[in-house]
Amino acid sequence: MSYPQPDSNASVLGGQNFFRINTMLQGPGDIYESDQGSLAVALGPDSDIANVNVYYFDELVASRVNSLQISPDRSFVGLLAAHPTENYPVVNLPGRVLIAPADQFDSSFRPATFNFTVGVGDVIDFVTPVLDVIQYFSQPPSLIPQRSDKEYEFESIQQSAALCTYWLVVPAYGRKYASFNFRNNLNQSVSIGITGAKLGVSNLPAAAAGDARPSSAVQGVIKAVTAVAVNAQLSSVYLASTMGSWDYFVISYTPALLPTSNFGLATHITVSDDAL
Amino acid sequence: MSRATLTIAAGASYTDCNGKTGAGVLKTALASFAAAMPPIFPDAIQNNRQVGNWAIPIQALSASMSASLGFSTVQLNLAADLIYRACFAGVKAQANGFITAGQGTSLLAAYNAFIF
Repeated sequence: MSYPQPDSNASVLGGQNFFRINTMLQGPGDIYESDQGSLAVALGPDSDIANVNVYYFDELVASRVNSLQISPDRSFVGLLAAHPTENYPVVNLPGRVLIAPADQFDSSFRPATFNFTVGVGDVIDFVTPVLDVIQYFSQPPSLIPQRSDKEYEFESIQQSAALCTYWLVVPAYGRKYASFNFRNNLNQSVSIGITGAKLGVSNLPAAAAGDARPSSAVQGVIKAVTAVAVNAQLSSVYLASTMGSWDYFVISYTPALLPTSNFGLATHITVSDDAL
Repeated sequence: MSRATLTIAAGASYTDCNGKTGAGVLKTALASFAAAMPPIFPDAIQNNRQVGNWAIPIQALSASMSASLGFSTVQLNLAADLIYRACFAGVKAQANGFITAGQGTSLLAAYNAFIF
């Protein structure tokens, strides 16, 4: 992001009937705030993050803090008041509405077999996930919480040392379906595999020098590593119902290619909330 | 011994909260950590809130816990997750210049005092 974040008061003063936080995440510690109450809270269409925690001032509980979680399948419809002139007890902070992803994003994540050797080791790229949350100030006639399908298309991959692996990490949070298509128009064979990764909160022993990841991850195979010959294609379909739910799709390309041109190794990914 | 950096503290939050759970003092530890945050991150400075606001759910979790709580995997997970996120918020805010190095050091000191 995106800090300082958008001002919810400006949305009201500007006559909008909603306040929207639409931002790329920095990390798992992102938390956003609103001085405004609302009549509904829902994921916006562009969100990669599926589960979002909303904390709000509630006089009916002892701590004055209550929370709810919204997801692609569950918006919150009802009066959710902000109390910025009152304070949460003990910490004495104003009674704003707080919004934070419940899903995790940590760009220090590295796959289990990542080669950390500096200079000649593996290379990793992340498609940074977007958090899109909307507070509605007027009662919407109906809420359609479904997120938009997303398509990612890459016509090349980043160059790295020969015989190493290039890793591409794409947000998967709660998606029910994904299709992966790869086309190898290079002059050498490339092995491609897909795993799912689910992040957790626990430190692991350092795998090697340079490994500073604070998060743990469980990984599962979606598509076993497969050699894609010159001018050949590889396709794979992911269904959450049979392959589990993951935070990331992690794609490996081995060997990463010589530092000439990697144009011609095309990747096309579509993710959807519909189990197509 | 203490956690050397906020990143290490974030990664150790589960281990350290587990230790507090085992000692039966997780509720107190969370409350103390939450109470220590607002003086470090004054609410009047908007950029501080991206870290300081984590004190609110941490305090709420502490308030919801029974003082005589035995081991609870669910509450341990919630606590570790919130502490992890608060520490990470400090890491990112400091890296982006939204809080000072001194504030990051103070947050780490609070972690080492109450959570480690």
